[in-house]
Amino acid sequence: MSEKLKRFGSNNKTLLIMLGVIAVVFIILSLAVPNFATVRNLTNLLQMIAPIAVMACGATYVLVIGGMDISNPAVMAASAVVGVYYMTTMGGNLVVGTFVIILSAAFLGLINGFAIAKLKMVPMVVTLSMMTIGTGLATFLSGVRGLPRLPDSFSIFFNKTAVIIILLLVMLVMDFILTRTKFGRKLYYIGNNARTTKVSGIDSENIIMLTYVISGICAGIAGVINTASIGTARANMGPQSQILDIISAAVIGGVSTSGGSGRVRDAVLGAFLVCGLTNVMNLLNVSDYYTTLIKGAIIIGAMGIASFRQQQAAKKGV
Amino acid sequence: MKKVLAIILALVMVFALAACGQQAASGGSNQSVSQQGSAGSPKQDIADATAAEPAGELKHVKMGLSMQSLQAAAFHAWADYLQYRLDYEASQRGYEVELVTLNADNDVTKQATDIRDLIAQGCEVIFCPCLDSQAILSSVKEVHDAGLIYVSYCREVSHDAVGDEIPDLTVNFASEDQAYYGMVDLFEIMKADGVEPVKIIDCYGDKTDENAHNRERGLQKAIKEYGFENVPIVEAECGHWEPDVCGQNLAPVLAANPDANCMYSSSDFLSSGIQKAMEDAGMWHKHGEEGHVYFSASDLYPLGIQHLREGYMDTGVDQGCYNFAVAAAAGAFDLLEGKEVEPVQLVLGTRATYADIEEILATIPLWGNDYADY
Repeated sequence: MSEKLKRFGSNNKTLLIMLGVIAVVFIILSLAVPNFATVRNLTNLLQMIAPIAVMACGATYVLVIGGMDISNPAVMAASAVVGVYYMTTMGGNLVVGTFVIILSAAFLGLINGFAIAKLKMVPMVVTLSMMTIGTGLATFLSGVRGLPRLPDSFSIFFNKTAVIIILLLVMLVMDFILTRTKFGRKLYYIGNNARTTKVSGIDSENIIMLTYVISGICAGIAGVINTASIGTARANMGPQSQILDIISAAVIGGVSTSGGSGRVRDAVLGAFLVCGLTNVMNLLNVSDYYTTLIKGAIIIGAMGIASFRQQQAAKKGV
Repeated sequence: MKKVLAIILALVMVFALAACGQQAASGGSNQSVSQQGSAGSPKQDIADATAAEPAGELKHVKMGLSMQSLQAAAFHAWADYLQYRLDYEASQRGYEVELVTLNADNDVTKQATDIRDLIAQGCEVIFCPCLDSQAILSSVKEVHDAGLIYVSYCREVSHDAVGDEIPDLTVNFASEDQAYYGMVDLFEIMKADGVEPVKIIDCYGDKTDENAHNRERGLQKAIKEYGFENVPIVEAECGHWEPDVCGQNLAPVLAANPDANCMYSSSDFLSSGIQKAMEDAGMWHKHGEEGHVYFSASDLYPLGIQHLREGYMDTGVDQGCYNFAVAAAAGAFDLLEGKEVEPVQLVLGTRATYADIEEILATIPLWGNDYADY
């Protein structure tokens, strides 16, 4: 039994450290900050974290193969606007509209993947361009007056409980695929050494393309969550600065920016830390002048520790 | 080593947050009313609030302000003045007020989250200059569902709002009147100078903003009233209130219309871009100089006041930021105390011209003067 525990501990160091940090912070904040440990605040917190955490799941896949997708917030906003346009201006069905959001995000992800995997374009340049295309598309479809609101039933269906269930499902399914399936193992192989993977007969081009599609789907799911939150969709739903939260959530969760390592589960916990900071600073009434400074400093500090850990692991040959 | 680093990080985070928190903590009807001039002075109100003797035990009340962004000087003025005026109202009514301010940073979903955080914090009144007049309706409903008061501050929610989506109080610009009176004063100056408008350049602030549309209506109203309907109007779009975009779009308009002698800008927040384009076109001249373009703009930002003082701009109508705070703070306390308030209050700031700006600055505390760095 103790052997099993030891093995679990050494295999899940990141998870245990993250859970420990979150638990310590949670206990201290519950004692020190009024209104922190209330049901209303904690469900607010989960609702706020969910879109970032879901996009961090997609970002984890992309980072694991050694790629980069900075278009996620723009893809999220664009797909949400496309879906809401379908559901309101075109009078479409709400269920179909939900799938339109996810499928249009998948399509934008496919364009990213095709350009990167098949045309061998640089991921940063491709996804930067997609960021501009996504914002442009969302602004164009939103029109001068913005899209109308959806019926209340949409927000009622995707309520706080549903959002938390969606987050858990996305995390569990994506973590399972990454760690327990052949496809997941191939992603790690590609991230560790893309050339060797190709020699080994793995169809890395299609896998890379599919990875960007998955990242797009995650952005689409985040788009559904955000649409339910405000009852409509807007081009300014996904500010470009949000990509910092997404990538830093993954990196704080131990996902390597150079590929080959990391888990979805840990990236979601990273999102809890990154987004939790905003909530806590709001509750503490920290002035906005300090909030961004403190948040930036903490993210840099945490990413520094993550980078240090990765270097140490590389030295040990882990 | 790794674990120690992780624990140190967590502790640093918690202590930093706690320290900052302590630092900050110490510190129906569609009828509208228009006001002119300033309803008070920030400095005087701060002095009065500080000097007020507390009568018995003060009732503590927590209020929240969800700002759409803090990128423009006027937004800081809205937030600062609201704090001053709430302190003043509180001191007069036997309250101790705590205002929690959050910044959505132009992110429409963050504004919804911020409002949820304010509800969770126990704020009894929530003030909000909304980023999006339609998207905010869900938040207004959430505030009402929690049994709290929603004040639409310096912005209006969509007119599609029904039932619980309607704010308890709306305090906004009389933006149509801002443009109208600015242009009326401009046409009067032109008449006195014996000049008729040949072409009117219209710098349109933002095609997605209700206040920009209202100002457009005010401009058209003044043009019609003075019988200038046949004078060509040439439009320069300014993106989303972006001075650089405004300047870039204005340059070709000026090149194609060198005979234009009259101009209106939805806001003098855009004036840095406008000035650059006018200078490049050789059309930036003071009142009285040859080639002067008669120019009116709304808001009276610090640069606008400077241009009025120098004579490059002829007329302008102040945003009346302090008056917003006066109306919003009084209304919020009235609502809190169960009193009836006028649900929609449109506030018009001070009218100023190049000829009377010095006198106005000496007597009326314009917000733009408070936030000027000259």
